[in-house]
Amino acid sequence: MISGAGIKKVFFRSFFIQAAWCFDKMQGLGFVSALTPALDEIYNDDSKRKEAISRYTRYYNSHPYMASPILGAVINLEEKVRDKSGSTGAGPELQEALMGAYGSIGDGFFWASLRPLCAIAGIVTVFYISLWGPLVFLFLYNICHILMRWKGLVWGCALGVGVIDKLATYDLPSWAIRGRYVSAALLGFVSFIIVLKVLMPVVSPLSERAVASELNVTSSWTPMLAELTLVVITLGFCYLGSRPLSVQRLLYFTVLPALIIGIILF
Amino acid sequence: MAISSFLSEALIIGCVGGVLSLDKTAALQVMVSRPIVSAPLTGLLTGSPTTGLAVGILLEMLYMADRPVGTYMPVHETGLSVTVTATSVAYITSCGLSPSMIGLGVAFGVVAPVLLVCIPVAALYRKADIFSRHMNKGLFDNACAALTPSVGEINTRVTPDLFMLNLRGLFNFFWPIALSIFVMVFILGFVARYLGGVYGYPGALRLYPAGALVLMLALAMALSAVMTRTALVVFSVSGLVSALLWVVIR
Repeated sequence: MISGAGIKKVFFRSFFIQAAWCFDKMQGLGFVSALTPALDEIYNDDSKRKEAISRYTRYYNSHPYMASPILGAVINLEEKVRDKSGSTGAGPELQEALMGAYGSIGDGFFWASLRPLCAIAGIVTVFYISLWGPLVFLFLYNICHILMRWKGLVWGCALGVGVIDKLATYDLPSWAIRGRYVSAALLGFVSFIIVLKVLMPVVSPLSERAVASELNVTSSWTPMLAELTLVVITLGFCYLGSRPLSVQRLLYFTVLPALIIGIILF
Repeated sequence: MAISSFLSEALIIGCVGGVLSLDKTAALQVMVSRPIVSAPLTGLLTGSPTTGLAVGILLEMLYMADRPVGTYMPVHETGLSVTVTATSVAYITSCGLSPSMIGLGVAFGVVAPVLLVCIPVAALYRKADIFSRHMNKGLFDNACAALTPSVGEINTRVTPDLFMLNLRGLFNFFWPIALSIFVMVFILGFVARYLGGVYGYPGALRLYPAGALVLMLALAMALSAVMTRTALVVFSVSGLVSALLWVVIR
Protein backbone atom coordinates (compact mmCIF):
# COMPACT_ATOMS: atom_id res chain seq x y z
CA MET A 1 0.00 0.00 0.00
CA ILE A 2 1.18 3.57 -0.62
CA SER A 3 2.77 5.46 2.27
CA GLY A 4 0.92 7.54 4.84
CA ALA A 5 2.41 10.69 3.33
CA GLY A 6 1.06 9.69 -0.08
CA ILE A 7 -2.42 9.08 1.31
CA LYS A 8 -2.33 12.47 3.05
CA LYS A 9 -1.35 14.20 -0.21
CA VAL A 10 -4.22 12.50 -2.05
CA PHE A 11 -6.56 13.42 0.82
CA PHE A 12 -5.48 17.07 0.67
CA ARG A 13 -5.86 17.25 -3.09
CA SER A 14 -9.31 15.64 -2.92
CA PHE A 15 -10.57 18.92 -1.42
CA PHE A 16 -9.84 20.57 -4.77
CA ILE A 17 -11.44 17.94 -6.94
CA GLN A 18 -13.85 20.51 -8.40
CA ALA A 19 -11.35 23.38 -8.79
CA ALA A 20 -11.30 23.05 -12.58
CA TRP A 21 -14.91 21.91 -13.03
CA CYS A 22 -16.07 22.37 -16.60
CA PHE A 23 -19.18 21.29 -18.48
CA ASP A 24 -17.19 19.04 -20.81
CA LYS A 25 -15.08 16.82 -18.53
CA MET A 26 -16.55 17.98 -15.20
CA GLN A 27 -14.27 16.84 -12.36
CA GLY A 28 -11.90 15.00 -14.70
CA LEU A 29 -8.86 17.21 -14.10
CA GLY A 30 -9.48 17.37 -10.35
CA PHE A 31 -9.69 13.59 -10.08
CA VAL A 32 -6.46 12.90 -11.93
CA SER A 33 -4.59 15.67 -10.10
CA ALA A 34 -5.68 14.16 -6.76
CA LEU A 35 -4.51 10.74 -7.92
CA THR A 36 -1.04 11.76 -9.13
CA PRO A 37 0.83 11.65 -5.76
CA ALA A 38 -0.21 8.00 -5.44
CA LEU A 39 0.78 7.22 -9.04
CA ASP A 40 4.15 8.91 -8.42
CA GLU A 41 4.76 6.43 -5.59
CA ILE A 42 3.41 3.39 -7.41
CA TYR A 43 5.33 3.84 -10.67
CA ASN A 44 9.05 4.62 -10.71
CA ASP A 45 9.16 4.35 -14.47
CA ASP A 46 8.23 7.69 -16.12
CA SER A 47 6.51 6.17 -19.15
CA LYS A 48 4.37 3.82 -17.03
CA ARG A 49 3.46 6.68 -14.70
CA LYS A 50 2.46 8.87 -17.61
CA GLU A 51 0.45 6.01 -19.11
CA ALA A 52 -1.38 5.59 -15.81
CA ILE A 53 -2.10 9.32 -15.58
CA SER A 54 -3.44 9.32 -19.13
CA ARG A 55 -5.85 6.49 -18.21
CA TYR A 56 -7.60 8.83 -15.77
CA THR A 57 -7.42 12.10 -17.72
CA ARG A 58 -10.98 11.73 -18.89
CA TYR A 59 -14.56 12.61 -17.99
CA TYR A 60 -15.42 12.12 -14.33
CA ASN A 61 -18.39 13.36 -12.33
CA SER A 62 -19.56 12.30 -8.90
CA HIS A 63 -20.33 13.67 -5.48
CA PRO A 64 -17.14 15.42 -4.23
CA TYR A 65 -17.07 13.56 -0.91
CA MET A 66 -17.69 10.16 -2.51
CA ALA A 67 -14.65 10.63 -4.75
CA SER A 68 -12.47 9.46 -1.85
CA PRO A 69 -13.48 5.78 -1.85
CA ILE A 70 -13.20 5.75 -5.65
CA LEU A 71 -9.71 7.33 -5.45
CA GLY A 72 -8.67 4.76 -2.85
CA ALA A 73 -10.02 1.82 -4.85
CA VAL A 74 -8.31 3.04 -8.02
CA ILE A 75 -4.99 3.39 -6.13
CA ASN A 76 -5.36 -0.20 -4.91
CA LEU A 77 -6.04 -1.43 -8.46
CA GLU A 78 -3.06 0.49 -9.87
CA GLU A 79 -0.85 -1.18 -7.26
CA LYS A 80 -2.09 -4.51 -8.62
CA VAL A 81 -1.18 -3.36 -12.14
CA ARG A 82 2.36 -2.53 -10.94
CA ASP A 83 2.59 -5.97 -9.30
CA LYS A 84 1.29 -7.52 -12.52
CA SER A 85 -1.71 -9.05 -10.75
CA GLY A 86 -4.31 -6.72 -12.28
CA SER A 87 -5.26 -5.27 -15.66
CA THR A 88 -4.77 -1.64 -16.69
CA GLY A 89 -8.45 -1.33 -17.58
CA ALA A 90 -9.75 -2.26 -14.13
CA GLY A 91 -9.20 1.16 -12.54
CA PRO A 92 -10.96 3.24 -15.22
CA GLU A 93 -13.80 0.71 -15.38
CA LEU A 94 -14.32 0.89 -11.64
CA GLN A 95 -14.18 4.69 -11.74
CA GLU A 96 -16.83 4.75 -14.45
CA ALA A 97 -19.00 2.16 -12.72
CA LEU A 98 -18.99 3.87 -9.34
CA MET A 99 -19.25 7.55 -10.25
CA GLY A 100 -22.96 7.47 -11.03
CA ALA A 101 -23.99 5.30 -8.10
CA TYR A 102 -21.87 7.14 -5.55
CA GLY A 103 -22.97 10.47 -6.97
CA SER A 104 -26.56 9.49 -6.30
CA ILE A 105 -25.80 8.20 -2.79
CA GLY A 106 -23.80 11.31 -1.96
CA ASP A 107 -26.51 13.66 -3.24
CA GLY A 108 -29.20 11.79 -1.32
CA PHE A 109 -27.26 11.64 1.95
CA PHE A 110 -25.12 14.77 2.13
CA TRP A 111 -27.07 17.35 0.11
CA ALA A 112 -30.62 16.15 0.74
CA SER A 113 -30.38 14.98 4.33
CA LEU A 114 -27.28 15.83 6.35
CA ARG A 115 -26.86 19.42 5.15
CA PRO A 116 -30.51 20.43 5.81
CA LEU A 117 -30.41 18.68 9.19
CA CYS A 118 -27.23 20.46 10.31
CA ALA A 119 -28.52 23.78 8.91
CA ILE A 120 -31.75 23.46 10.86
CA ALA A 121 -29.79 22.60 14.03
CA GLY A 122 -27.75 25.74 13.38
CA ILE A 123 -30.92 27.81 12.93
CA VAL A 124 -32.32 26.54 16.26
CA THR A 125 -29.04 27.53 17.91
CA VAL A 126 -29.18 31.02 16.35
CA PHE A 127 -32.45 31.74 18.14
CA TYR A 128 -30.92 30.83 21.51
CA ILE A 129 -27.21 31.58 21.33
CA SER A 130 -27.02 33.78 18.25
CA LEU A 131 -23.64 33.71 16.52
CA TRP A 132 -22.91 30.15 17.66
CA GLY A 133 -25.53 28.90 15.21
CA PRO A 134 -23.29 28.95 12.12
CA LEU A 135 -20.48 27.31 14.12
CA VAL A 136 -22.81 24.52 15.29
CA PHE A 137 -23.81 23.94 11.64
CA LEU A 138 -20.18 23.83 10.48
CA PHE A 139 -19.09 21.54 13.30
CA LEU A 140 -21.91 19.00 12.91
CA TYR A 141 -21.66 18.89 9.14
CA ASN A 142 -17.90 18.74 8.78
CA ILE A 143 -17.44 15.99 11.36
CA CYS A 144 -19.43 13.68 9.08
CA HIS A 145 -18.08 15.02 5.80
CA ILE A 146 -14.38 14.86 6.68
CA LEU A 147 -14.81 11.42 8.23
CA MET A 148 -16.33 10.21 4.96
CA ARG A 149 -13.52 11.71 2.90
CA TRP A 150 -10.71 10.28 5.07
CA LYS A 151 -12.15 6.87 5.91
CA GLY A 152 -13.43 6.39 2.37
CA LEU A 153 -9.92 6.99 1.01
CA VAL A 154 -8.22 4.74 3.55
CA TRP A 155 -10.74 1.91 3.07
CA GLY A 156 -10.44 2.23 -0.70
CA CYS A 157 -6.63 1.98 -0.54
CA ALA A 158 -6.81 -1.04 1.77
CA LEU A 159 -9.73 -2.94 0.27
CA GLY A 160 -9.80 -1.93 -3.40
CA VAL A 161 -13.07 -3.14 -4.92
CA GLY A 162 -14.06 -4.37 -1.45
CA VAL A 163 -14.76 -0.73 -0.47
CA ILE A 164 -18.12 -1.12 -2.21
CA ASP A 165 -19.27 -3.75 0.30
CA LYS A 166 -17.70 -1.81 3.17
CA LEU A 167 -19.68 1.34 2.33
CA ALA A 168 -22.83 -0.67 1.69
CA THR A 169 -22.80 -1.86 5.32
CA TYR A 170 -23.37 1.76 6.42
CA ASP A 171 -26.56 1.94 4.36
CA LEU A 172 -26.35 5.68 3.71
CA PRO A 173 -29.68 5.83 1.82
CA SER A 174 -31.58 4.62 4.91
CA TRP A 175 -29.78 7.11 7.12
CA ALA A 176 -30.69 9.80 4.59
CA ILE A 177 -34.38 9.03 5.05
CA ARG A 178 -34.06 9.03 8.85
CA GLY A 179 -32.24 12.35 8.64
CA ARG A 180 -35.13 13.85 6.68
CA TYR A 181 -37.63 12.86 9.38
CA VAL A 182 -35.43 14.36 12.10
CA SER A 183 -35.13 17.53 9.98
CA ALA A 184 -38.93 17.68 9.64
CA ALA A 185 -39.34 17.33 13.41
CA LEU A 186 -36.73 20.04 14.07
CA LEU A 187 -38.46 22.29 11.55
CA GLY A 188 -41.67 21.91 13.52
CA PHE A 189 -39.76 23.08 16.59
CA VAL A 190 -38.24 25.95 14.56
CA SER A 191 -41.73 27.03 13.51
CA PHE A 192 -42.75 27.33 17.17
CA ILE A 193 -39.57 29.25 18.04
CA ILE A 194 -40.38 31.66 15.19
CA VAL A 195 -43.87 32.17 16.67
CA LEU A 196 -42.48 32.78 20.19
CA LYS A 197 -39.39 34.83 19.40
CA VAL A 198 -40.18 36.67 16.17
CA LEU A 199 -43.87 36.81 15.21
CA MET A 200 -45.54 37.39 18.57
CA PRO A 201 -43.13 39.92 20.09
CA VAL A 202 -43.53 42.37 17.20
CA VAL A 203 -46.82 43.51 18.69
CA SER A 204 -44.58 46.10 20.35
CA PRO A 205 -44.03 48.15 17.18
CA LEU A 206 -42.44 51.26 18.53
CA SER A 207 -39.30 49.57 19.74
CA GLU A 208 -36.40 49.51 17.34
CA ARG A 209 -35.05 46.40 19.08
CA ALA A 210 -36.95 43.18 18.77
CA VAL A 211 -38.41 42.39 22.15
CA ALA A 212 -37.12 38.90 21.85
CA SER A 213 -37.88 37.62 25.29
CA GLU A 214 -41.01 39.59 26.18
CA LEU A 215 -44.28 37.97 25.23
CA ASN A 216 -47.20 40.35 24.87
CA VAL A 217 -49.97 37.76 25.12
CA THR A 218 -53.25 37.78 26.99
CA SER A 219 -53.81 34.03 26.90
CA SER A 220 -51.31 31.22 27.21
CA TRP A 221 -53.19 29.48 24.38
CA THR A 222 -52.36 32.28 21.94
CA PRO A 223 -48.99 30.80 20.95
CA MET A 224 -50.73 27.45 20.35
CA LEU A 225 -53.27 29.08 18.03
CA ALA A 226 -50.52 31.09 16.34
CA GLU A 227 -48.52 27.90 15.84
CA LEU A 228 -51.54 26.14 14.35
CA THR A 229 -52.03 29.04 11.93
CA LEU A 230 -48.35 29.01 11.02
CA VAL A 231 -48.38 25.25 10.37
CA VAL A 232 -51.44 25.55 8.11
CA ILE A 233 -49.96 28.47 6.16
CA THR A 234 -46.62 26.67 5.84
CA LEU A 235 -48.28 23.52 4.51
CA GLY A 236 -50.18 25.72 2.05
CA PHE A 237 -46.92 27.27 0.84
CA CYS A 238 -45.45 23.78 0.63
CA TYR A 239 -48.28 22.78 -1.66
CA LEU A 240 -47.72 25.88 -3.80
CA GLY A 241 -43.99 25.15 -3.84
CA SER A 242 -44.68 21.69 -5.20
CA ARG A 243 -46.47 23.30 -8.16
CA PRO A 244 -44.24 24.60 -10.99
CA LEU A 245 -43.67 27.89 -9.18
CA SER A 246 -40.12 28.98 -8.44
CA VAL A 247 -39.06 30.41 -5.10
CA GLN A 248 -38.61 33.78 -6.78
CA ARG A 249 -42.18 33.84 -8.12
CA LEU A 250 -43.61 32.75 -4.80
CA LEU A 251 -41.72 35.57 -3.12
CA TYR A 252 -43.07 38.20 -5.49
CA PHE A 253 -46.63 36.86 -5.42
CA THR A 254 -46.85 36.75 -1.62
CA VAL A 255 -44.31 39.03 0.03
CA LEU A 256 -44.74 42.00 -2.32
CA PRO A 257 -48.50 42.33 -1.70
CA ALA A 258 -47.86 41.89 2.03
CA LEU A 259 -45.32 44.70 1.93
CA ILE A 260 -47.72 47.01 0.10
CA ILE A 261 -50.58 46.17 2.48
CA GLY A 262 -48.33 46.71 5.51
CA ILE A 263 -47.20 50.11 4.31
CA ILE A 264 -50.71 51.25 3.39
CA LEU A 265 -52.63 49.86 6.38
CA PHE A 266 -50.30 50.60 9.33
CA MET B 1 -20.71 58.71 3.23
CA ALA B 2 -18.32 59.42 0.35
CA ILE B 3 -18.31 57.49 -2.92
CA SER B 4 -14.76 56.33 -2.22
CA SER B 5 -15.80 54.64 1.01
CA PHE B 6 -18.78 53.00 -0.78
CA LEU B 7 -16.26 51.73 -3.33
CA SER B 8 -13.79 50.38 -0.79
CA GLU B 9 -16.55 48.72 1.23
CA ALA B 10 -18.00 47.15 -1.92
CA LEU B 11 -14.52 45.99 -2.97
CA ILE B 12 -13.89 44.28 0.37
CA ILE B 13 -17.32 42.66 0.29
CA GLY B 14 -16.74 41.56 -3.33
CA CYS B 15 -13.44 39.92 -2.40
CA VAL B 16 -14.90 38.24 0.68
CA GLY B 17 -17.89 37.04 -1.38
CA GLY B 18 -15.55 35.72 -4.05
CA VAL B 19 -13.45 33.79 -1.53
CA LEU B 20 -16.52 32.34 0.20
CA SER B 21 -17.96 31.38 -3.20
CA LEU B 22 -14.93 29.20 -3.88
CA ASP B 23 -16.17 26.84 -1.20
CA LYS B 24 -19.43 26.37 -3.11
CA THR B 25 -17.83 24.39 -5.92
CA ALA B 26 -14.11 24.91 -6.45
CA ALA B 27 -12.47 24.21 -3.11
CA LEU B 28 -13.00 22.45 0.21
CA GLN B 29 -16.83 22.27 0.26
CA VAL B 30 -16.80 22.76 4.04
CA MET B 31 -20.01 24.81 3.70
CA VAL B 32 -18.69 28.27 4.63
CA SER B 33 -20.38 29.29 1.37
CA ARG B 34 -23.82 28.49 2.78
CA PRO B 35 -25.99 31.52 3.64
CA ILE B 36 -26.12 30.59 7.34
CA VAL B 37 -22.36 31.16 7.47
CA SER B 38 -21.64 33.69 4.71
CA ALA B 39 -24.42 36.11 5.67
CA PRO B 40 -23.46 36.47 9.37
CA LEU B 41 -19.81 36.81 8.30
CA THR B 42 -20.80 39.65 5.97
CA GLY B 43 -22.93 41.08 8.77
CA LEU B 44 -19.90 41.04 11.10
CA LEU B 45 -17.86 42.85 8.44
CA THR B 46 -20.51 45.52 7.88
CA GLY B 47 -21.34 46.04 11.55
CA SER B 48 -24.63 44.17 11.93
CA PRO B 49 -24.25 40.48 12.75
CA THR B 50 -27.96 40.25 13.61
CA THR B 51 -28.95 41.37 10.12
CA GLY B 52 -26.53 38.79 8.75
CA LEU B 53 -28.13 36.10 10.90
CA ALA B 54 -31.61 37.08 9.68
CA VAL B 55 -30.46 36.93 6.04
CA GLY B 56 -28.65 33.67 6.69
CA ILE B 57 -31.70 32.00 8.25
CA LEU B 58 -34.03 33.19 5.47
CA LEU B 59 -31.83 32.28 2.53
CA GLU B 60 -30.66 28.99 4.05
CA MET B 61 -34.27 27.87 4.41
CA LEU B 62 -35.47 29.36 1.11
CA TYR B 63 -32.83 27.55 -0.93
CA MET B 64 -32.47 24.39 1.15
CA ALA B 65 -34.08 22.31 -1.59
CA ASP B 66 -31.84 23.75 -4.32
CA ARG B 67 -29.03 21.26 -4.82
CA PRO B 68 -26.25 20.78 -7.38
CA VAL B 69 -27.21 17.56 -9.15
CA GLY B 70 -25.47 16.64 -12.40
CA THR B 71 -25.15 19.70 -14.62
CA TYR B 72 -27.93 21.62 -12.83
CA MET B 73 -26.60 24.70 -11.12
CA PRO B 74 -28.55 26.00 -8.18
CA VAL B 75 -29.04 29.67 -7.37
CA HIS B 76 -25.81 31.31 -6.22
CA GLU B 77 -26.86 31.54 -2.58
CA THR B 78 -23.45 32.79 -1.43
CA GLY B 79 -23.48 35.81 -3.73
CA LEU B 80 -27.10 36.50 -2.90
CA SER B 81 -26.57 36.25 0.88
CA VAL B 82 -23.55 38.60 0.77
CA THR B 83 -25.44 41.10 -1.42
CA VAL B 84 -28.67 41.06 0.60
CA THR B 85 -26.78 41.46 3.89
CA ALA B 86 -24.65 44.35 2.64
CA THR B 87 -27.67 46.10 1.09
CA SER B 88 -29.80 45.62 4.21
CA VAL B 89 -27.09 47.05 6.45
CA ALA B 90 -26.63 50.00 4.08
CA TYR B 91 -30.37 50.68 4.24
CA ILE B 92 -30.50 50.35 8.04
CA THR B 93 -27.56 52.73 8.46
CA SER B 94 -29.03 55.31 6.11
CA CYS B 95 -32.35 55.23 8.02
CA GLY B 96 -30.54 56.42 11.11
CA LEU B 97 -30.86 53.11 12.96
CA SER B 98 -27.90 51.58 14.70
CA PRO B 99 -27.04 48.37 12.78
CA SER B 100 -25.32 46.78 15.75
CA MET B 101 -28.35 47.33 18.02
CA ILE B 102 -31.04 46.02 15.71
CA GLY B 103 -33.01 42.99 16.87
CA LEU B 104 -33.76 39.81 14.95
CA GLY B 105 -37.48 40.57 14.50
CA VAL B 106 -36.81 44.04 13.09
CA ALA B 107 -34.05 42.59 10.89
CA PHE B 108 -36.46 40.10 9.30
CA GLY B 109 -38.81 42.98 8.45
CA VAL B 110 -36.02 44.99 6.81
CA VAL B 111 -34.61 42.02 4.92
CA ALA B 112 -37.95 41.11 3.30
CA PRO B 113 -38.16 44.10 0.89
CA VAL B 114 -34.39 44.07 0.30
CA LEU B 115 -34.67 40.41 -0.71
CA LEU B 116 -37.32 41.30 -3.31
CA VAL B 117 -34.96 43.88 -4.81
CA CYS B 118 -31.88 41.63 -4.75
CA ILE B 119 -33.42 38.36 -6.02
CA PRO B 120 -33.01 39.23 -9.74
CA VAL B 121 -29.27 39.67 -9.09
CA ALA B 122 -29.00 35.91 -8.56
CA ALA B 123 -29.36 35.47 -12.33
CA LEU B 124 -26.21 37.57 -12.88
CA TYR B 125 -24.29 35.49 -10.36
CA ARG B 126 -25.39 32.29 -12.04
CA LYS B 127 -24.14 33.63 -15.38
CA ALA B 128 -20.80 34.46 -13.72
CA ASP B 129 -20.61 30.89 -12.42
CA ILE B 130 -21.38 29.46 -15.86
CA PHE B 131 -18.72 31.72 -17.40
CA SER B 132 -16.14 30.38 -14.90
CA ARG B 133 -16.95 26.80 -15.85
CA HIS B 134 -16.58 27.54 -19.56
CA MET B 135 -13.17 29.07 -18.88
CA ASN B 136 -12.09 25.91 -17.09
CA LYS B 137 -12.43 23.81 -20.23
CA GLY B 138 -9.14 25.34 -21.40
CA LEU B 139 -7.39 23.88 -18.35
CA PHE B 140 -8.40 20.32 -19.18
CA ASP B 141 -7.22 20.80 -22.77
CA ASN B 142 -3.87 22.07 -21.43
CA ALA B 143 -3.60 18.95 -19.25
CA CYS B 144 -4.13 16.70 -22.28
CA ALA B 145 -1.52 18.67 -24.20
CA ALA B 146 0.96 18.30 -21.30
CA LEU B 147 0.52 14.54 -21.45
CA THR B 148 1.24 14.40 -25.16
CA PRO B 149 4.98 14.95 -25.59
CA SER B 150 6.38 16.96 -28.48
CA VAL B 151 8.80 15.30 -30.83
CA GLY B 152 12.03 14.56 -28.97
CA GLU B 153 10.69 15.69 -25.62
CA ILE B 154 10.66 13.50 -22.55
CA ASN B 155 8.17 15.17 -20.30
CA THR B 156 8.89 13.72 -16.89
CA ARG B 157 7.54 16.65 -14.88
CA VAL B 158 3.88 16.16 -15.69
CA THR B 159 2.66 15.34 -12.18
CA PRO B 160 3.26 18.67 -10.40
CA ASP B 161 1.83 20.60 -13.35
CA LEU B 162 -1.54 18.84 -13.20
CA PHE B 163 -2.23 20.00 -9.66
CA MET B 164 -1.17 23.59 -10.36
CA LEU B 165 -3.23 23.50 -13.55
CA ASN B 166 -6.18 22.31 -11.50
CA LEU B 167 -5.66 25.10 -8.97
CA ARG B 168 -5.81 27.71 -11.74
CA GLY B 169 -9.48 26.87 -11.86
CA LEU B 170 -9.78 28.58 -8.46
CA PHE B 171 -8.87 31.89 -10.07
CA ASN B 172 -11.37 31.26 -12.86
CA PHE B 173 -14.07 30.70 -10.26
CA PHE B 174 -13.02 33.65 -8.11
CA TRP B 175 -12.80 36.72 -10.29
CA PRO B 176 -16.13 36.67 -12.21
CA ILE B 177 -18.22 36.25 -9.07
CA ALA B 178 -16.09 38.67 -7.02
CA LEU B 179 -16.44 41.31 -9.72
CA SER B 180 -20.19 40.73 -10.01
CA ILE B 181 -20.68 40.98 -6.24
CA PHE B 182 -18.57 44.15 -6.10
CA VAL B 183 -20.61 45.83 -8.84
CA MET B 184 -24.01 44.82 -7.47
CA VAL B 185 -23.18 45.64 -3.84
CA PHE B 186 -21.98 49.06 -4.97
CA ILE B 187 -25.09 49.78 -7.05
CA LEU B 188 -27.65 48.32 -4.65
CA GLY B 189 -25.91 49.83 -1.62
CA PHE B 190 -26.07 53.23 -3.29
CA VAL B 191 -29.79 52.80 -4.05
CA ALA B 192 -30.49 51.53 -0.51
CA ARG B 193 -28.66 54.49 1.06
CA TYR B 194 -30.56 56.91 -1.17
CA LEU B 195 -33.97 55.40 -0.38
CA GLY B 196 -33.15 55.15 3.33
CA GLY B 197 -32.00 58.74 3.42
CA VAL B 198 -35.06 60.07 1.56
CA TYR B 199 -37.88 57.93 2.96
CA GLY B 200 -36.45 56.79 6.29
CA TYR B 201 -37.44 53.70 8.22
CA PRO B 202 -41.13 52.82 7.71
CA GLY B 203 -41.39 51.16 11.13
CA ALA B 204 -41.44 47.58 12.39
CA LEU B 205 -45.25 47.29 12.20
CA ARG B 206 -45.41 48.27 8.51
CA LEU B 207 -42.74 45.72 7.61
CA TYR B 208 -44.20 43.05 9.88
CA PRO B 209 -46.57 41.36 7.35
CA ALA B 210 -43.80 41.05 4.74
CA GLY B 211 -41.27 39.82 7.31
CA ALA B 212 -43.73 37.27 8.71
CA LEU B 213 -44.72 35.99 5.27
CA VAL B 214 -41.15 35.62 4.06
CA LEU B 215 -40.35 33.60 7.18
CA MET B 216 -43.32 31.31 6.55
CA LEU B 217 -42.33 30.91 2.92
CA ALA B 218 -38.78 30.10 3.96
CA LEU B 219 -40.08 27.50 6.42
CA ALA B 220 -42.19 25.95 3.66
CA MET B 221 -39.25 25.79 1.25
CA ALA B 222 -37.09 24.18 3.95
CA LEU B 223 -39.86 21.64 4.53
CA SER B 224 -40.07 20.92 0.81
CA ALA B 225 -36.34 20.02 0.94
CA VAL B 226 -37.15 17.04 3.15
CA MET B 227 -40.66 16.50 1.85
CA THR B 228 -42.33 13.18 2.04
CA ARG B 229 -45.89 12.69 3.21
CA THR B 230 -44.60 11.33 6.52
CA ALA B 231 -42.24 14.29 6.93
CA LEU B 232 -45.18 16.71 6.57
CA VAL B 233 -47.04 14.87 9.34
CA VAL B 234 -43.90 14.82 11.52
CA PHE B 235 -43.46 18.58 10.99
CA SER B 236 -47.06 19.40 11.93
CA VAL B 237 -47.08 17.13 14.98
CA SER B 238 -43.70 18.40 16.15
CA GLY B 239 -44.78 22.05 15.91
CA LEU B 240 -48.07 21.48 17.70
CA VAL B 241 -46.48 19.31 20.40
CA SER B 242 -43.84 22.02 21.01
CA ALA B 243 -46.62 24.59 21.44
CA LEU B 244 -48.62 22.27 23.71
CA LEU B 245 -45.59 21.52 25.87
CA TRP B 246 -44.93 25.24 26.20
CA VAL B 247 -48.53 25.85 27.32
CA VAL B 248 -48.36 22.97 29.84
CA ILE B 249 -44.97 23.94 31.25
CA ARG B 250 -45.96 27.60 31.61
